[in-house]
Amino acid sequence: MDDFERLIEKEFRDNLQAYFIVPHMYELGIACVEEKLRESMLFGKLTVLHYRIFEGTGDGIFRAAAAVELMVLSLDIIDDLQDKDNKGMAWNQMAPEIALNIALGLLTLSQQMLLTSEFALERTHEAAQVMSKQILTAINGQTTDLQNDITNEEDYLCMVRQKSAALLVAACMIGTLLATGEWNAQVRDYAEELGIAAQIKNDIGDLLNWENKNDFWNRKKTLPTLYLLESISEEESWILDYFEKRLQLEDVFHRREEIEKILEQTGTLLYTSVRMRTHYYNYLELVNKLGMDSYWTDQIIALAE
Amino acid sequence: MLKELIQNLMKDPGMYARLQSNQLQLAGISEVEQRALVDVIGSRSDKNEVMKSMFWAKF
Repeated sequence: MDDFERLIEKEFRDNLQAYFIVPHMYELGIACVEEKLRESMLFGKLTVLHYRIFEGTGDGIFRAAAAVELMVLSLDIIDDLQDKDNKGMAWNQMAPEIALNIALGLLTLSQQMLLTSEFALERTHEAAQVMSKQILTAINGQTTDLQNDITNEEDYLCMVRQKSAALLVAACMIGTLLATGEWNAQVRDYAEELGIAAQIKNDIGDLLNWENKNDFWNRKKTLPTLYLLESISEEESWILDYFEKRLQLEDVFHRREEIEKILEQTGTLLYTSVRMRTHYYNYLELVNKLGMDSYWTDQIIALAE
Repeated sequence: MLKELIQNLMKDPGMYARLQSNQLQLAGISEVEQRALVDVIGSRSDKNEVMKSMFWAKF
C-alpha cells in the first residue's frame, strides 16, 4: 500500500480537473478532497486490498478506490449538512447550498470514475451497480436515522446495516468484484460486522462527547440510549421524561455529571462495549473463515485497528 | 440474554466480582458474547473500582 496515497491523490486531482470545470467549483472540490487526504482512507484501502487478495493486478484499482473514497466523502458532507455537525470541516466553511452542490458533484464523479476505469465492461457495470445499490441502501438507513424512527434494538441494527455497514460492504465488494467478476457473500458478511462494530463505537463516542453533538441532549435513539431507557430506575425516570419531551434541555442540562454516573451504573457503557466487541469478534472469525493466506488476513485485520 | 445479564450484574456487586474472578457461570449468552464480556471487564483500567467498565474496545 506504499503508493496508495500518491496514486489516490493523483486520481482525485486528475478527475476533479476533468469534471469540475467551473474554476470556483474545482477549488471548492479540492478543499473537500484535501480533508479526505488527511484521513486514513480506510474505504479505499479496503477496495485495493480486496482486489489484491483475489489476485487482481495492475494499478487500475486505484481509480476504483478513489471513486469509493469520493462516494464516502460526498455522503459524509451531506451527513454533516443534515446533522449540522463537524463545523471545522472545509465544507462547513462554504454556504450549505454550495457544499451540497459539491457533494452532488463528488457523488456523481465517483460513479463516473468507476464507469471509466480500465476494467472489462461487464465488471465495471457490476461494480457500479454495487456502488449504486449500496448508496441507496445507505440513504434508506440515513432516512431512518434522521427521523430517529427507532424503537428497539432490532430497528437500530437494521438502520446501522443500511446506513453504515452498506458503505463498508461497497468498498470491500467493489475490489472483490473487479478482481473476480463475482459477488462474495463471505466478504459481505464480515464487512457488515465491521460496519456495525464501527457504528456502535461512534454511538458510544457521541454519547460521551458533551462538547459537540451529543446523542443524549439530542434524544437520539441508539444502542446505548435504548439500553439506558430500559435500565433506569424509578428515581431516574426523568431521563425518560426528557427523551419523551416532557422535560426540556434547560431542565436537565445541569445534570450532566449525574447522567455520566447513570450511564456507568446502569451498565450502559459496559453493555454497548460488549455488543461492539461481539460484532468485532464476529468480523475476525468471518475473516479467518475465508481461508486466505495469513498475510492477507493480517492486512485486513490491521486495517480495522 | 446479554442485556438482562448486565442489568443484573450492575445491581449485584458480588455477582460482578465473581465474574471478574471467573467464578460466574454465564448462561444464556453466546460464546462470542461471553468472550466479549470477559474481555471488556478484564480491560478496565482501574482494578480498584469494581463497577468501572472499560468502554473503549480497541479494534
